[in-house]
Amino acid sequence: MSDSSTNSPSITAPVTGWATHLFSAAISLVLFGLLTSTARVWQSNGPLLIPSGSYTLLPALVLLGLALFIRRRSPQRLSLSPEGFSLGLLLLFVSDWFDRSYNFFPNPSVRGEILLGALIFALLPARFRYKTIIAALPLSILLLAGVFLSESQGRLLFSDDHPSFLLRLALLREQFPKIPFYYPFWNAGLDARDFFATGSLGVFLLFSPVIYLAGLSNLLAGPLYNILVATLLFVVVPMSTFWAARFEGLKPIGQVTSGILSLCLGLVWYRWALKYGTMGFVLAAALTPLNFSLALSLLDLELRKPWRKALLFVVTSSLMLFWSPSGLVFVPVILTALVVVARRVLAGHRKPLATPTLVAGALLIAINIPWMSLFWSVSNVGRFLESSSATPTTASYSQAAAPADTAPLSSASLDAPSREVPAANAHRGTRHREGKIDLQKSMSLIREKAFSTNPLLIFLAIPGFLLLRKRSMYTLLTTSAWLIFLGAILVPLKPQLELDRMLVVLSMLLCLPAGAAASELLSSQRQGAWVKALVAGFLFASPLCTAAVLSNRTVDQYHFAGPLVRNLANAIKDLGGAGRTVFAGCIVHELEEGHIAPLTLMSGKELVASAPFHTLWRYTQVIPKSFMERGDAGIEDFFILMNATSVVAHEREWRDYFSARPEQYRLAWREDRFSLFERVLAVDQPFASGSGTLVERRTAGLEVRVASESAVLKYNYFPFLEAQGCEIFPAQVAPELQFIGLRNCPKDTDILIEAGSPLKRLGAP
Amino acid sequence: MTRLWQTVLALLCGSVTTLFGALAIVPTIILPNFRSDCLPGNEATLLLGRTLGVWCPASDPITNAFYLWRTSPLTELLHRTFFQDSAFTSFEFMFGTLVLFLGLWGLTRISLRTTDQTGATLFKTEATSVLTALFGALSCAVLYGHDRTAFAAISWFPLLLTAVLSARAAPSPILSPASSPFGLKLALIVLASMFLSFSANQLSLLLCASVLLFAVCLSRNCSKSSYGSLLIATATLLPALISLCLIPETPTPWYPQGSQVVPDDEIPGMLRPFFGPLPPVPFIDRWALRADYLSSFHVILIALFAALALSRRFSVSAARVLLLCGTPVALLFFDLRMPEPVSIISPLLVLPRIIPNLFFVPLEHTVIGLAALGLLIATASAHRTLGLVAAPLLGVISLLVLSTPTTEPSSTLDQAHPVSERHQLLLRSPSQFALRAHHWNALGLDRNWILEREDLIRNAHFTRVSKDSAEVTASHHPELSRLMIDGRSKTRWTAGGGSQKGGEWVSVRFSTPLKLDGVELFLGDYVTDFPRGLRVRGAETCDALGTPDSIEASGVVVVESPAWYGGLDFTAQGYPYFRGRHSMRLFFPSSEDFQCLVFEQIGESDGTDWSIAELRILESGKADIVSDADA
Repeated sequence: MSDSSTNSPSITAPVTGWATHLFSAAISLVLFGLLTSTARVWQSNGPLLIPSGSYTLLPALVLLGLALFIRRRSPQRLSLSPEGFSLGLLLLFVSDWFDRSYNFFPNPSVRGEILLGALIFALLPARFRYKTIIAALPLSILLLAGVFLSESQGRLLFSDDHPSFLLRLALLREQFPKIPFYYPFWNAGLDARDFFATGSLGVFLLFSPVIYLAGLSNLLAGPLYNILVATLLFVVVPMSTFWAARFEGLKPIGQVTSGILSLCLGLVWYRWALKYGTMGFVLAAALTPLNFSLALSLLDLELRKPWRKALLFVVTSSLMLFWSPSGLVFVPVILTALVVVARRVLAGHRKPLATPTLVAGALLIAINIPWMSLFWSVSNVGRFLESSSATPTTASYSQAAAPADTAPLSSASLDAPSREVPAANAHRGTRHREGKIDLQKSMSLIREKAFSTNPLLIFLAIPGFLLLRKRSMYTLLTTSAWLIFLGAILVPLKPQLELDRMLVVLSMLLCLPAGAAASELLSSQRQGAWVKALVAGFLFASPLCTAAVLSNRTVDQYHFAGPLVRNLANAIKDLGGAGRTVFAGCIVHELEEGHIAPLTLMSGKELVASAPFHTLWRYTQVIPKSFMERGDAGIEDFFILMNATSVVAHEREWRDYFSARPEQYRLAWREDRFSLFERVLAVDQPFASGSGTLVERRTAGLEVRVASESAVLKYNYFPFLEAQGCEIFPAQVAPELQFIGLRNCPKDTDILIEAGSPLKRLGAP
Repeated sequence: MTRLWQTVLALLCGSVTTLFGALAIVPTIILPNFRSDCLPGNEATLLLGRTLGVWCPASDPITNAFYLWRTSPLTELLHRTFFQDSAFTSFEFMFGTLVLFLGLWGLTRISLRTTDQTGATLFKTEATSVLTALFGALSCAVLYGHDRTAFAAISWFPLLLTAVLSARAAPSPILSPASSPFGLKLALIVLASMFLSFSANQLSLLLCASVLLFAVCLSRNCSKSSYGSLLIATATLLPALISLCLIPETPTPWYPQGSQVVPDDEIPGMLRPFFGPLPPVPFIDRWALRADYLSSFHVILIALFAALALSRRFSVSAARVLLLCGTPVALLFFDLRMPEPVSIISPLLVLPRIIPNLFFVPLEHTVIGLAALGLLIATASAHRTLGLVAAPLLGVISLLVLSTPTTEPSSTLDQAHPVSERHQLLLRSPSQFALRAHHWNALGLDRNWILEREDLIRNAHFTRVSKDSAEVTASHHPELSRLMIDGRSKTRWTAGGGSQKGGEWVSVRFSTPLKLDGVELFLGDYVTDFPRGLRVRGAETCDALGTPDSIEASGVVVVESPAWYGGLDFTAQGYPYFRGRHSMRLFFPSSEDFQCLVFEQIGESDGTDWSIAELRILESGKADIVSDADA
């Protein structure tokens, strides 16, 4: 890794020739066997192509032997060529790969699109080919963004975590930079601090001008959030990869191809982005190639436009690091940097790094260490990492004492329920099981992900590594191995980290070498028109397959909010009474496949539910165990303590339960499986004891006026809460409930209860 | 006579003759076969309102295709302004023919022009151009007259091609005077492309792209820079793209998942476009489509070979013939002649998956037209006489196409008897095949019987046949036949052998005659073991179990289905559909007393037996009886 070689390709000129092609084909064959295991011809019930992966070894050895034979006769350096690796694509085309489940290609008939693409490329006059590929990136962006927005039809993207993310953006709009804070609207008050863990800050800062300009109501309306998501997925992602490829010195076709490939990573990418709604992760993954490329180029002593790159690096790295696990990706880059610095120091360089690089490093630390410290402290990251999968994951919105640790609804405790509900431990605590390292399972995981990934990334990235700059090649190879280790092997050890996402990050990074290989192949004057056409065919089909994903025409479906969401919010607002509305039972994704988090903003009311966010992986009853054990009286007591004036039931048992007690609950609204019952005898009383007035509920606190000596508010207590001019203390009203107690308050004075300075929480237990 | 006057005179004569020719064709060929009439109350208006025309549901009785179609706004405007009294369809046809003539005339003029045309040579050129265009236009009118959609799509094609060619070519004395600037030519392209796009609707992008390909093949001396070419391409394609964006989503009836309205294409899963509107179930009958267009494909194939064989003799560029005619023919070959698993990856089935809205419209007719036009243009552009031969050849093809019997008697069904308004609606819906298939299956019966029995079909609950009340036997494995009436769906009678060859039968005799509305040959878990074709005969009384031979004399055929499409049902909106081929619910056209029934398998299949898990009956007047637990 000498400095002189950093800007030159690792192999001065691409080594071509039959020996290289055959050698590459042999590796490609083994890779194909490794990924497919048993393969059949054309379709899943076709003739056997290879009984198992190991059967590819023999033909691979034959190809290798031929390569060595040719090399002996006419001395050539053995290398890797995209042409040779195209054999993998050809095998994939004729095998049953397209029939495998959870495939990036939605249907085996996609062979037609590949053939058409290949045909068009082959028939295009040479002078048009270059322009066509260059035009393909903006066309793909337009196509995919258009398809996504057309699919949305103005409805709010509502799959899984998207609504939660929307709430976070809205809250950040109101409160940033005063985070974390106390949010009284959900579950009788909670610690709003998961902006750090979820990467919301990055997305918020990136789009803050739009978010501030648009206003809260526009943000919640739907189209704006969809446009933000579309911008992230179809503009930020390809542009990041495009510029990364540019900084890596790839040819224009390589830059464009990398951009196209980043749009067409595969099914898993869009699963995380659209179905799971992990937008923080999406932004971090999107910026990874750019930061990788910038970081490596900043290691050069002689930089072009150094200050611009340094500034860009600081901005994009900070945005990326807001999804904190992304730091793990850069371990090999950091090691590379250390090696480079060490070598330069040993070589007697007085200044091992350029000034802009040093400034960028310092700025990066200065910007990110403060919030990281706060994050570490307030989110109990250490405890989270040590926790096993039995505990619920990422309890980001800590719910002081309310529903998190509660027992499931027991049929014995209710009169009406006729169906048994899942037991407390019926579901696992995380998406992955905790266990030991199992290489066989790791291989299965890699296979599964491979089918969902764009095969161009798999088969072109390997020869593409050699076409990158030497330092990039070594670092990217190390990073790839590191990410495979994290994403496929280490997953069962720390399931709560969901490290399998690292394979998605890897596929994003592989866009660079794959783009380099595609560029070498498509723009070169080499022979092998059919190989070029085949690769072009796959490239042509990739945006179409992505469009199929966006059109919900694959096995992975994502969802938009139907009228039910707005109707439910309106019903709570208009019919829910002055107090809180409690969602009985356990609600996770039941409302249009998404979390109910933004309902507080949409309805303007305080709500209580087992989990407004993705903090539950098992059935958890909203009503704590001690209350449930007391039957009807306990349930009623809980509702009184929660100041509930209405309840929403979406489970049949609870609907039946409330319907069977018309003297206590009156059906006020019903749509789909959701029913809103008014609590007939309920009185809006925010004080559990003592007297006073709730003057105002704010996004980040409460304003009350206390009339008695002491009072207990029906809001959860947290040690970080402060009350101006009052003594605040925890009041244990039930084994699971600890409310805010106030004493020695000045009479007839408005008292603001809110979270204290975040700095005070640093180092707090 | 000066050059200009000769041109004007030729154009005038040609136009008038074309119009008269078209007028002559209208009553004999066109009107009776028009299919895509707009239905009142089903109009989907555009964003820009009625100014850009009205979208109406159109249906194709051959392929069962169902899509929205809009007549050209220009045609509508002209008709409304000048010819309000004439029938719109006749006017549309005549106007289309005239446009076609003008386009072809322009093309032949560009192709045949030379630098020094004077006197007799000039007259010959003008006459040849006019005659070729005249024959070509009238032949196309015959070829496409019965298909309003394809005719509207193809009529503007030659005119746009002329505009593009004149813009690409070096300045010419008549069509592209040296003085006319490039901008004007571009404007003409945009105008022609707009008219084509708003006539061709879903087919616009395909046709505009084809114009560009044709232009590239025909350009002898392209004087344009790549920038100019890009402008021409943009001017050609942009109106098509805009037109595509303006197409509203086809308001298709809802059908349950897994149901069918056309015969199964035998490809696992459902082919779907990658994006854009999606029909709930496949609408296009691929079997009928392949059968229907095969003869015209063969004719065009022969014409192509003939042109290639004669190309050297008449100095025609074989490469040009291959590109202009051979390419569409090759596309048609993959689509129509290859096995369906290969066809689905052929370009003609790929394009509908990647161009929004095209999935609803069959392309074959348009591509046949492109092949024919390609042949005409390739030959006419090279040889004066050959064009005159090629144009009538189109007419021959057209007549052959028209004389080919279709797989379904669409025109007779529409005309033979007056039908109810609802029947009319269903005949112009994706359910038309389901309606027709059952009309055919029920021999010699009023076609309305399905609609009359809708309630019965919708609420049918078949009851199992008790062992005590019936006896059964079968041609194969008679010892297993009792399993059909044992009340258990896990057990079955099967003909065995791993295939169906035709001639297998099952016979049932009830202890007393029963008034039946239908029977169900329930398959249980053996969902692929349905009979590929079925004939049911029944006899009112019988002394013993019948066989196909014994019952032939005394009984009647109540169901005859050479191909089994699936049990019939109705959607909530009243559209008939097939529940899938595993559903073996058979409905009789009327309630009749039967003591003996013989079910004869008349189809063929490799790899699957014919099985019956349970025999169930639908007794007349007992429709509300709930069937047993297996149901």
